[in-house]
Parts: sequence; C-alpha cells; structure tokens
Amino acid sequence: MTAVRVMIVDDSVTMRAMLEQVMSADDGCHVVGIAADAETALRLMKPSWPDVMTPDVTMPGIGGLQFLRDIDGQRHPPIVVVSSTSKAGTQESAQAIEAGASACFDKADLLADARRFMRVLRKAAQSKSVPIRRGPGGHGSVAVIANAEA
Amino acid sequence: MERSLLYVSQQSLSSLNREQAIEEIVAEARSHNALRGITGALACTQDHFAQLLEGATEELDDLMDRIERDHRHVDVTIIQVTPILCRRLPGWSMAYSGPSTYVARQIVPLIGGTTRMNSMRIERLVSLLVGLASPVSAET
Repeated sequence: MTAVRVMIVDDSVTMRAMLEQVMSADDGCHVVGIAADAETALRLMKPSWPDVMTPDVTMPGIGGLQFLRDIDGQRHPPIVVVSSTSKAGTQESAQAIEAGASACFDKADLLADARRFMRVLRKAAQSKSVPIRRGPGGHGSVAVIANAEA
Repeated sequence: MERSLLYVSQQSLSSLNREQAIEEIVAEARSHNALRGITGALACTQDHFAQLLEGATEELDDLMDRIERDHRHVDVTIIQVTPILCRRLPGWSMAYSGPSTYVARQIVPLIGGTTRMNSMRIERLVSLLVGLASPVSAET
C-alpha cells in the first residue's frame, strides 16, 4: 500500500505536533510538509505536492476557509479541514465543504479516533488533484465525504 | 481542552554557570506558568532538557513559541501531545528536583536519539518526570 503523503497546516505548534504524532504512528501515512499558516502552505504545496492537506479553519492571516476560497478553481490536493469548530453539522463544517474541502474532522477526536481520521485522509487522497469547480449551488465536483464516517 | 506536552531540547548552557542558569530557567518558568495556568516538570542531563507541560492548548502554544526562541534551548522537539482530563502535576508550576546523578543516569538513555523514540521510552520518560515531582510537596 502506498503511503498517503500529507501536509499539515495549523498555526498551533501543539496541534502540529499532535497531528504529526497521529500520522507518523500510521505506516500508511507520510508527512511531507508542515506549515504554520496558509501562506506557507501555498508556497510549499507545489514542490511537495501532497496527496492531501489538512488546514485548520481558524488561523491568523489567511484562515482555512479563505485558503479554500483562494485556491478555488486551481489544481490542488484534496483538503481535509481539521478544526475544533468543524464538528458534523456545524455551520463551519458546511462552509468548509461549500468552499471545496473534501472532508472535515473534529480536532477533539484526533487521538481518540485516529483510525477514523486516517480513513478520512485516505479516502480524500483517492480524489487526487481534482480542480474544484463550484457550481451555482456552491458544491464542487469532488465527492463530499465530510463526516461520512462520523 | 487541556493537553499534556512532552518535549526534549538540547541545552546550550556554558558548563561554568550551568547550575545557576538552570535555576534561572526554573524560576522564570514558575513565574510564567503560574500566571498562565500551566503545570509541569523539568529534568536535565548534561546535554538535554526534558519537560512535561500541562495546560490549555493556546497557553502551551505561547510557551513553546517562547522556548523555541530561547537561546538556551536548541533543537526543540515535541515528542508527545495528549489530551488530558486531569493533570498529573497539579500544583506544580514547574517541578525541578535539581541536579542528580541518579536522575541523569535514568534519563540519558531515554532522551538519546529522540528521532526514534518509541512509545515505551516516551511513557517511561513521562513517568520519570511525574515521579520527580511526587516525592516532595507542591510549591505553588
């Protein structure tokens, strides 16, 4: 099985370490980049080209939602939003999906449900590098798997 | 949500005033942590610091930013971050039991080669840090 190559994007050094810890514990996952903000993530994205990116919604500068909107229409890796405000059914979760995220995952479940998190990453990675084209209804062409396993 | 965070760093202290410098680090940490609701324990070897911290994520972020910018720490590596329901070091703004050959002998093999630190070594290091705070009474 080919390892899923992931880029972590989070302004919290604690959360970056925790995400790296969860991902590194899984042989099927390889962290190829770590960014503390969306600007750095955009800069690192092209040379490292991960299979999936995991931005937080709330970040200084360009937040996660704005990050999604900024790359709307461009070719980019699938995105799984990892945030404490992205529980299933929340407005933030719906906005992230509408902005082009493949899935959302609640930070609070990261360690307790690491296996589900890894499944969500793998599933998102399967929809590799599809340009998001939002239609009038707001939904992109990428299959929405947000909270599918919640 | 509160978390515990374990990190290891190389220390860049001169051997001439090493003990005094560590006492200053501990004093600064106790003052800062008490204000920020952070609890923790510190252990030192000849070359490394190992510290277990407990607190809110935002406070741990700020503290780790400070530590990464602190010239006394080099190669700061976060080893483990875990959500916690209750603290293992309540009452300790920073537990530090001073230089000890015994502690150094216990910790050196656990800290060496942090890049391949497995879960058993991590748990032993955490237990040791918690244990260092246990024999004496809390100081807040």
